[in-house]
Amino acid sequence: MMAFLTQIVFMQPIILSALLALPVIWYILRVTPPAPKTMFFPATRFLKGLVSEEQTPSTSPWWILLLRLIISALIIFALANPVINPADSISGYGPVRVVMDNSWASAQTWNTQQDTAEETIKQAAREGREIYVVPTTSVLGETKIEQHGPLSEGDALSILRGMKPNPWPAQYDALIQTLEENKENKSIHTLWLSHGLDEGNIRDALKEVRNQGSLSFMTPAVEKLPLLLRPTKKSLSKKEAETASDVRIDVDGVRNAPINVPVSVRALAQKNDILDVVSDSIASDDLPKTLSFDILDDLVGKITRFEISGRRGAGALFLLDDQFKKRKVGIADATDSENTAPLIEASYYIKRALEPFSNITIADPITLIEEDVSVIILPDVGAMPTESLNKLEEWIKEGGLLLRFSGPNLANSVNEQFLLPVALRSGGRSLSGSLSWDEPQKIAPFEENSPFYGLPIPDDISIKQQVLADPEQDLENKVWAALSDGTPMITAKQEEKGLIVLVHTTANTDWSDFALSGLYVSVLKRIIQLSGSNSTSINRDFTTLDPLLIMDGFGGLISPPAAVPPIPADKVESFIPTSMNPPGLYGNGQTQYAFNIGTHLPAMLTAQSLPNGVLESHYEQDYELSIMPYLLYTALGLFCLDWLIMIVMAGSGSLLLFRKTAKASLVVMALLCLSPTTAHADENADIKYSGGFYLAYVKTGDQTLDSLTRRGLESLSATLNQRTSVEPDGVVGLDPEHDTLSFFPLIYWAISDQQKAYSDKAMQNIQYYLDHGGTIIFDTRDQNRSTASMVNTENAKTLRRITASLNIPPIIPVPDDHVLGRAFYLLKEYPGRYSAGTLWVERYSASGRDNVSSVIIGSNDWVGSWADSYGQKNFNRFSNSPDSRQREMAMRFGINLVMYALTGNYKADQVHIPHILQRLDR
Amino acid sequence: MGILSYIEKLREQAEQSVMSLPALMIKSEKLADNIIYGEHARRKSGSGEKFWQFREYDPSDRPQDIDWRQSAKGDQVFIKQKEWQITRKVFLWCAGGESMNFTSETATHSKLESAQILCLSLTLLLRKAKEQIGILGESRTGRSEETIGKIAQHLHNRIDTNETLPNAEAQTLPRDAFFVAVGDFLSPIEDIEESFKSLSKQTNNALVIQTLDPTEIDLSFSGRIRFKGTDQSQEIINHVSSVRSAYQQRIVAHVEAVKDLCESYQWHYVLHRSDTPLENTLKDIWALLDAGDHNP
Repeated sequence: MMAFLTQIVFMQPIILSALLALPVIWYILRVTPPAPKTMFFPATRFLKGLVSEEQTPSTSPWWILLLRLIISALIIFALANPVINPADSISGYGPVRVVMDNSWASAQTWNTQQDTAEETIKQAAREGREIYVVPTTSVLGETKIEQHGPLSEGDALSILRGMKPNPWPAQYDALIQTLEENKENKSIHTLWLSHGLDEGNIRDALKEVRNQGSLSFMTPAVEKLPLLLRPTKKSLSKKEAETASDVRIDVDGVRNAPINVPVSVRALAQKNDILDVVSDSIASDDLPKTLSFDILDDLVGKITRFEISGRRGAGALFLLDDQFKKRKVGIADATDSENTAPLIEASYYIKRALEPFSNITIADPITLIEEDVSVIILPDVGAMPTESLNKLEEWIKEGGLLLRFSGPNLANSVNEQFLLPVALRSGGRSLSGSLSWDEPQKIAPFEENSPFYGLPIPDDISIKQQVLADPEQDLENKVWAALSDGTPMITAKQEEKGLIVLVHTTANTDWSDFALSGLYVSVLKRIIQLSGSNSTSINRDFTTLDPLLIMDGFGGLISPPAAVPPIPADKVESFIPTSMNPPGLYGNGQTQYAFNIGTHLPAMLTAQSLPNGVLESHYEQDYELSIMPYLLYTALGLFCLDWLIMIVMAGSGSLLLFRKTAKASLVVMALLCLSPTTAHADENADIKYSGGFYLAYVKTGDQTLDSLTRRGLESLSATLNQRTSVEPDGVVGLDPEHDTLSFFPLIYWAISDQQKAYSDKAMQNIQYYLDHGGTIIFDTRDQNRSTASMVNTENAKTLRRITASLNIPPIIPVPDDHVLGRAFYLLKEYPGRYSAGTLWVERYSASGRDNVSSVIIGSNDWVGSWADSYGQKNFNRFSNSPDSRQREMAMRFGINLVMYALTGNYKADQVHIPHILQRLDR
Repeated sequence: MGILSYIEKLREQAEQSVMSLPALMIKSEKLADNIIYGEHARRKSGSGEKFWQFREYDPSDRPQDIDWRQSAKGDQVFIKQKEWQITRKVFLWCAGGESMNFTSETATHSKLESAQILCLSLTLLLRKAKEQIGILGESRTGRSEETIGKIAQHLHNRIDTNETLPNAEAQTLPRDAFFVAVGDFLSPIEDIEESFKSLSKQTNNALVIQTLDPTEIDLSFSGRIRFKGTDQSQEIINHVSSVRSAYQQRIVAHVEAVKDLCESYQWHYVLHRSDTPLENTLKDIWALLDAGDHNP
């Protein structure tokens, strides 16, 4: 108790001297009776000179005096601004600079950092010092760090609150540059709020700061140091391989601090379905810790990411791409010779190379085809039974990928060449040996149109022997890799839907030491990735990867702004995210690559051996807490009590007065009770909305429009009930400022020019909704007023004003074959009350939302049309009048819209295409 | 409330309160002769309705006056003489002002309302007895509906005046006129004495009705109260209950003083508490004043 008390400090202790006045207040309260009632009395004259015997008795009973004294004392204490766990005063004099670590690792310590920063800023403001704030990473798309300041307390706090961690490493060099540029003559005290890691050359940055003044370096407690997910690099020992599962991920922590923290990592599928959770503890002497997940083979392909539970940010999130999906690879090798001479057998090398990212079966080709593998590898096969050959050819034409390696067998079977990308010369070519004049050849750098473009080529690979291709017309187009003398090294040919790839050397070390290099693994990996993608073309552009989805600092996935440039493919192998290219999903066409922060980041170390004179400390566990408001509330409560007592006491004089004031106080009480109940109701509403399907609309504040929208949606809801298995539970009006949007798959937003502007919070709410799978249909309802395009009407302007701060992906007029046109009914146009307006949808939908456009924009006033049908349960939808026909079509659009929002691209399924085409032709 | 409706209400209340009472004819020992016909018998022959005496015909009499039925009983010719009946003039005065306009929670009417209704009720009662009624300060008297309307109008206007005591200089009352003064008479007793003294020079037939609010008599408050008087004076009493008996003594003494003053002029005095029914006070007045010699 005493320890607790000693932590209270009065920020304005001088006010406490007012406590000395309490006896005076006591005296004044004692001699000042309660204010008398005043009344007109004609016979006052007769009262003149009459004096009641007791002058002060019962003026105020002692307990009322005590109550009032307590109130006075509470107010005095409150004004003295008592604070529990006060922040220490900031050392030094002059300006204060807060260096806010906001790299990827900060996301895990962000709240602590921010609380401390806030406290520091308030303290600095109390001490009347100038405030500077500088982050350690630049904003997205820039490389320069901006220092803010000098700032007022409010500005500093708002900058601080607006600051977010970024998912890339700290840019110490940029920080040093900024610090040098903003160097002032004054000595600045710096408070570095760190996440605890040294991301490179923090020492230099600290030295630069130290040069400009004193420095306090704050780090989190050891158990709160950041963790990082990394791809597994450790290969398993043979013994482990038999028991451990294939799905593994590493958790890394700092190496040079004694950490021992429990973690649990979740493997998540799309829509955050948890496939498995593995818990373990991380100790610094056993890093990185490999966690194995026990997931059925069928489900392995569905994993989209790993997450560390309870931690946020890029480091605690590991995205997976197609590369991770294990493909079934078959090695056609009937001979079971692995056991006899394992280290020289071709299939052994292939197996070792492919094991980490594919499921390997070794069998004869027919069995492999039956097992439905996506890649078949033929290591040096010269001849093959005709039956197998035919089946293999058929399989390739249907989309299989055949990877062949050369060898003596192939070289000597030129007379019966089959399934080869190029015609081969007999006998092969020996580049080194006792009878050869040639030197062993190196591999030439990969061309830009090669799938291997960007892979580094080690110097020490030499090819001693190869099979040679017969020169033919389009040989160049078939070459994926060549030797330094220009002869082909890897060739490929498209065979209908399938692909045949030939490596002109052996899969083992007989003809080259290619099989011993890391390049071997990378090349095989890339080849195997090509399988199963229909659009595989040998001549693809592999030079750049466009951003598809990028990570924000807290690990959320967002659409990339235009500022994010593509990643050159030659950097792919060693890509470390930067402020230009944050981590996320990159790719082109059908291929997606996930770039994670952990993949190539160097080992994590805490910042140690700080420069001299740096004060290192840990973040406080307790934060400054002002108890002034609580004291004031107590005083207010006691004051109300006093007031009630006064009413009761005065009431003995006049009952009527009591009755009046009692009524008033009842009203006050009722008002006081009202607020908690509404909050309660909110929660109940949330529970209700999460339990069913509700059509939702945004309340615009325009009463007429809102009720129209409501009626329209109710009408649509009734029709949905009648005709489809979608049975909405009701219609809900939403206010983005306060309501949770996430319960509603589809939100209708009719635009009104009376639409009020929304706060940033509401815009964030909407953006979050759009980014996390929600769909909003904007309806400007002004097709009649716009001419060719919906550019200049009032409502369109309003729409643009609202959406200006939203991150909406590029939109296009709805294509003819869009799913919206066939989600339930087959529709060619999408009429509402007007029929000519263009409907706009997203150009590409982000992955993970089943191709559903996050925004649909139109001007046809659908709600208007739906509302017209309101209440007419059986309006004659088969009538031939154009009016009711259009109304019916609008209703059908509504049904399609809901279906589209709920089922996504389900109807885009190819299965129904012939059927649909037939009907469309008619 | 408009003036008319207020007056109508006043009239209605007055009508109600006099409903149960017969006409009030103020008893009088001696009345001046006047020619206006009324109910007061002069005990001598004159114009009137009541039979007075038969008298032997004198040649100076008009032949029309011969009472043939009486004359036929004998040889003499008789003339039937009727008693001379005249009216009284009654002048009303009602106090006004802030002091009168006071109602406590227990009273049904303010003092002024009580006084107004009393005045109007008296007017109606006197009218039944065919007396002539007027307002002090306005020399005309009458008993027509119009006069009553004027009286009601006058009573209504009393709110705006600040007359706490009747002013004798306002009018010289006719001889034998009857004077009725209604008010709270809370002014200093010296002022009241002076006012009454000058009035007494004009008439010795008067009725003083003192209307008081029950709280003015009982001081039925408690607690700490700041009392404000009419003349901006104010008194703060910390414990009203502790001074109650002292106050009651004072107010009773004052009421007694007013009563004594009236008696010294042989005037009638009635005390009306505004929480008691007006009918009771009216009955008291009736019992006090009525001559009782009504027509059968």
